[in-house]
Amino acid sequence: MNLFVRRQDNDLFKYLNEAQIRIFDNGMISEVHSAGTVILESTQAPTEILVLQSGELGLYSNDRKQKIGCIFEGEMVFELFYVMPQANIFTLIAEKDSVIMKVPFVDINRFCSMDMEVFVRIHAAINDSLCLKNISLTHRRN
Amino acid sequence: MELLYLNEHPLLCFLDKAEIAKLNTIAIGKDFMAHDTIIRVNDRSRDLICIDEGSVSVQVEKIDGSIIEMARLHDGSLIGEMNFIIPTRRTANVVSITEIYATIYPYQRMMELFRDETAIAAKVFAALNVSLASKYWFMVGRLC
Repeated sequence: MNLFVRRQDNDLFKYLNEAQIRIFDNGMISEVHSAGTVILESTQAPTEILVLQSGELGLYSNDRKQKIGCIFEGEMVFELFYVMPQANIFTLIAEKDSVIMKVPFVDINRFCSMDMEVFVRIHAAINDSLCLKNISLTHRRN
Repeated sequence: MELLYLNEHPLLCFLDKAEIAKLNTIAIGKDFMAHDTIIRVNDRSRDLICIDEGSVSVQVEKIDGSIIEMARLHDGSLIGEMNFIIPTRRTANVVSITEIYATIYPYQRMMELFRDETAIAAKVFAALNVSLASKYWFMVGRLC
């Protein structure tokens, strides 16, 4: 969308300024995962949007036979469950040594409810991410 | 701001009556006959279109010229949201199966409105996220 200008490498916060990002500081957790680590099983319900700070993640079907997609640096995953809570069908695996930042859904809701500008810019960022993921599936060749 | 479903419209579901009235000032209602092309592949238009009455077929053309129907959508469906968010081009033809009444939300007029009406923008973006998430979920379900 051409309403906002990208300001950050992090896709979730891409349209926020530094002051708007700072309100999320207390709730965010960074985690390091070695290549091959299962970060989230399909039996676990996501409660955070994950933003990949470095490395690469793979999103697989629950039986791990089908790779749904890759998450690269700066991209987010599990925004789907923030928008539409439901049972998880994905297993998330670190394809390379990875650092992820976890942003809890409850914090996103809390800060969005406090500041309309944060709300609209977070949702615009999620629009972009979900749209790209849909395009990656509609353009899939196999 | 808390998001509450106030109606079942795919784009207006979080808007109250006053906000819907504001958004409707830029909306254009349009009738289509059966077999009309509502969206044509490769078009650059970024307008959002809601099918209010009738049914449409979402079609792609193969290299050999044959047509494949990807989906049928009915009243209450939103189309065109991917090109609204990320400008590329239309990737499928949308053809009316029956007579259609559709509401068109022109991209440029929406952007002008959203610059002044942050709450409306926020709620429309949230509704678009629900629509995009549903489509993603549907496509992933077919893969898994």
